[in-house]
Amino acid sequence: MTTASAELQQARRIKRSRNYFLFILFAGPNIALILAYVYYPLLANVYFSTLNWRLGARTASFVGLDNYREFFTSGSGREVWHVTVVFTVATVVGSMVFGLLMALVLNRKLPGRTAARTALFSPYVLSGVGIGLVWTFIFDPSTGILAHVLGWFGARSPEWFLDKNLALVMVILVYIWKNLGYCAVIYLAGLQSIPQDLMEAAAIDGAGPLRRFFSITLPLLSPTVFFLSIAMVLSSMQAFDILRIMTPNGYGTNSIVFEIYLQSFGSYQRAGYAAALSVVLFLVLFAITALQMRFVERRVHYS
Amino acid sequence: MSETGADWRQAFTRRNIMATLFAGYLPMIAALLVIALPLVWMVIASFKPVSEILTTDLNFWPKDPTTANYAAVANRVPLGRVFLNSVAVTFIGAAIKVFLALTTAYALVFIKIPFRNVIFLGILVALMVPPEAAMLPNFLSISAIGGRDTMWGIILPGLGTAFGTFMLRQQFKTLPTELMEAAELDGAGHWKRLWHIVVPVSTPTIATVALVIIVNEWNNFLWPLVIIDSPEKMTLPVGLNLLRSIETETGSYGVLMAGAVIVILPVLIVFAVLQRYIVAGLTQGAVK
Amino acid sequence: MRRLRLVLAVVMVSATVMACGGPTITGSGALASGVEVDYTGVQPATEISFWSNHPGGSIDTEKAIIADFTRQTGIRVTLVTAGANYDEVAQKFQAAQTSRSVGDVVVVSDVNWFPAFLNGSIVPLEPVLANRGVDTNGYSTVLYNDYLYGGKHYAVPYARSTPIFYYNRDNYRRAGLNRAPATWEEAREFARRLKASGVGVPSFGFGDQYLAWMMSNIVWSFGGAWSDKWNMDAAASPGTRDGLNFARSLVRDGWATVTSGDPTRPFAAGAVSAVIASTGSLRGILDSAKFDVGVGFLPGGPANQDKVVPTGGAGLAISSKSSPDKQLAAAMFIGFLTNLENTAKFSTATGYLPVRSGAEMSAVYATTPQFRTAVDQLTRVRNQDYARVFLPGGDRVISATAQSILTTQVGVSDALDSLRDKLEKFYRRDVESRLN
Repeated sequence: MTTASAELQQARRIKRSRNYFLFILFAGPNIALILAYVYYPLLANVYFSTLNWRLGARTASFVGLDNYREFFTSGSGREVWHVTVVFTVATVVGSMVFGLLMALVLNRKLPGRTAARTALFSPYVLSGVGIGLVWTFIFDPSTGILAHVLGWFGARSPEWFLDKNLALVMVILVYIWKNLGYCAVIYLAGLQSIPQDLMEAAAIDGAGPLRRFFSITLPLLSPTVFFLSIAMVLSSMQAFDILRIMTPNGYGTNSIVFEIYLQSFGSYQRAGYAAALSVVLFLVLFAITALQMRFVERRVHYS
Repeated sequence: MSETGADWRQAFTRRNIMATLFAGYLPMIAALLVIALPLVWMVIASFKPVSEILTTDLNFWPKDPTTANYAAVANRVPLGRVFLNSVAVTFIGAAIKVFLALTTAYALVFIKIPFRNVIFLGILVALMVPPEAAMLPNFLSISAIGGRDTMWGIILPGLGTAFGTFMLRQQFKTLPTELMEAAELDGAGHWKRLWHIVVPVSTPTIATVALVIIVNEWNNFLWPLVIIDSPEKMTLPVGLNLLRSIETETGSYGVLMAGAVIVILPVLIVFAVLQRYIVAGLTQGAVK
Repeated sequence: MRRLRLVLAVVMVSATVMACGGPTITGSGALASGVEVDYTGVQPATEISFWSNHPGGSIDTEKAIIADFTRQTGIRVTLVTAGANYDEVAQKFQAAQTSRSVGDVVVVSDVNWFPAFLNGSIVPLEPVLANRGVDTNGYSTVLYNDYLYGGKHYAVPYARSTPIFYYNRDNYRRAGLNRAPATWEEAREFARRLKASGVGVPSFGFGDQYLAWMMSNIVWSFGGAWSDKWNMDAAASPGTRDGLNFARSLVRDGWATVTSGDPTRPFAAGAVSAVIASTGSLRGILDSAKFDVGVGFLPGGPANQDKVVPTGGAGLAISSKSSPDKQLAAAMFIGFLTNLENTAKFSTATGYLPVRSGAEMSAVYATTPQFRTAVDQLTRVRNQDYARVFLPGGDRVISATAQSILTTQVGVSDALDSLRDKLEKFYRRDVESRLN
């Protein structure tokens, strides 16, 4: 080895260690925070989920997989699944269907549609707490505006807050209201990327609007549909604010996230059980996201 | 997407007018009413006195408008304090997060070390972890180091930002390499390059990321709810939750509506003004 | 070499995981043994905190009493609104056990003190009260002994109550009625007469709060109970079933209604003619009702007419996390807050029972005799069932069952059988091992 190349090697080594140092300087704090407050909790949850532990108590006992067993077999655990699945499916389907309809409407070149689009999107960015308060007032069986309107038709307002099923319907409606604008805007972007000549060619060929929709629009929209469905499922499974404000006790609305909160910080205070639920929640969401990534990769290759 | 005269005329031709009205304006107006009416009702009700809330006959406008509800909110909850807490938490938290996102994204793109793609993958995976799943252990860790009921206790766990890092990394990757090489030849260190070259060029993306982070920080509810006890340290959403627990009388909806206005109005205004960036930021992910 | 590093990494990770805020693992979740605190030579602290939910709307009274206390002793007391009701305070208190700062004095309800004791988060009071010379003999025995377990008291009575029967005297007079019903059968008869006389609102309102407490009365009246000490079979017994069936029939037949939230609100607004609610709501109702408010004893039933009244409300406990000097100051404070003069003040401002015999209430009783009712009713009081007050989570699950019976079509026997199973499970899992 000549001295020149040895010097080159030395310079490279110095540069590399300088790079390591700089990288840690620039990205280190962020990574450390992510490790401490995102990854560490995952492990901690797995550990805590094996305990029967009352939050704040100094002692706990080891119960292995009992918490998981209880969640998957007990009546109250099944109830959480039921609420979560119903809520998720209903809000996802509702938001996406109404969002698509609105996107189709907005896709027409009508004056005033940007303002409409903005207005439609706005509930998505507003505080779930504020929205929950507004809709609690609207749904109130004695003084709410909904009760008044029903009264004009001679009907009595249903007891939204006292009946488990009605409470769930109520929060589903509110959640759809909050999210359909987001779906609409995303669909709109997808619709606008459909080449116009394709649509015109089909029209010339004699295809009616309905036929065009199902044969051309929908298939070309499928990546958007897929992306939205995943995004909406993730969002619905993490819904909390509206549920907590409208139904503070989770009566009929205890989805898995709400149940985690109720179990750890509510009157049950079973930290071990809540940790088990957290692990299940993470695994489910991870599986759904991983599925999406795989699917999108494959789709990209095909197109 | 500007509405040209041609569009207008096209929409209202004889052939199209039925379609325009029934498949166009009718659903549009219906949707707008559904979206806007609750919010309008919220504002109106916040100015109604108790007698008009409890009444059986419905009046749209308040017959006797009053600001008593807002005074009541200020009375039950230390409103000024709570509002300032929200402002402080939002801006300090957002500023730190944006800063960290900038430096991390820069490092991932421009500081060449092996494994940086693996590290990026690790950060990406962190995006998939719902904050609710991490709530309990974070509560215990923060509690154990004395962060319960403090402002930094609210901010700290959320600072590890994956969303901002992801967005900015995508943006930085699109920068032409000649730009960076020229700066390197000029002898500018990484720090200088970040702040004097990369940031000025990427301002729209940074603004978008910042706005999304600010909106989310302002609306953040679950974590502050869990970590804060005393009303003086609460942020706006948590303070309103306390208001909801305290105000259980049916006549107190006016107070609750006043509270809702206070938490919703700032974001609504910001959104109305900066909607282009916010919508772009939130829908970015769809156009992967 | 690589495997060793891997093992090391795993060990380190697990160590950090277990380190951060986790509990110590014991064999069967045995009771956290309270270390005997030594108070010799300790002087009371000069500053403590009081976690309260201001029961009965008592925030101003509490502030006034605190001001007096500080004037007399120089000890500053920080009043913290730790929640909107007893359960929220208890949850905050429990969650705060993970950190170093907890309220020194905390309001504990009838169902929250025992779980706090099981966790070792409140101290037995005899030593610290004796140290500060607080006279515990003056407390009403039945109220003080509600906090007795294993020969020690864990709280002193503060905002104590029994439920009483509130009725709209104007409506009752229209129907020719001049007193509260003596039995539940009579209550149904009263409902018929109210309707016949043209009173348009339901004659009775069930709320959806504290149902397990309120409905102890009807369940006891029909010979049932939520439990017989630690035996949960009583929850599914014929007496319990009869009582709940009767309540459901009142709702089904239209004599009673179920409202969401606190039933005293619709009552004060005139939307129902009668409710059963805590005597602690008395002041609030008198202030906001626009009609003549009558109160009476809780009704009895076919099986029991006399001992059918539960006690309730809250007491004051001292946190075990507080340092000895703060505990002494806390003892002085709770003694002061519940002394003869202040318990009369508190009771007058809210309607809660005066907790010391001999409290000066005659002036109050002369002008508003309704305040006497709960006191007089103390002779008909019976200890609450363990399933509700001693079982963590018991109150919640009993209330939920009662609510579902009142508002849904669920089969009463099935619901009660399932309730009994749940209560047994809670007992076996959370209590049994810790008490033995």
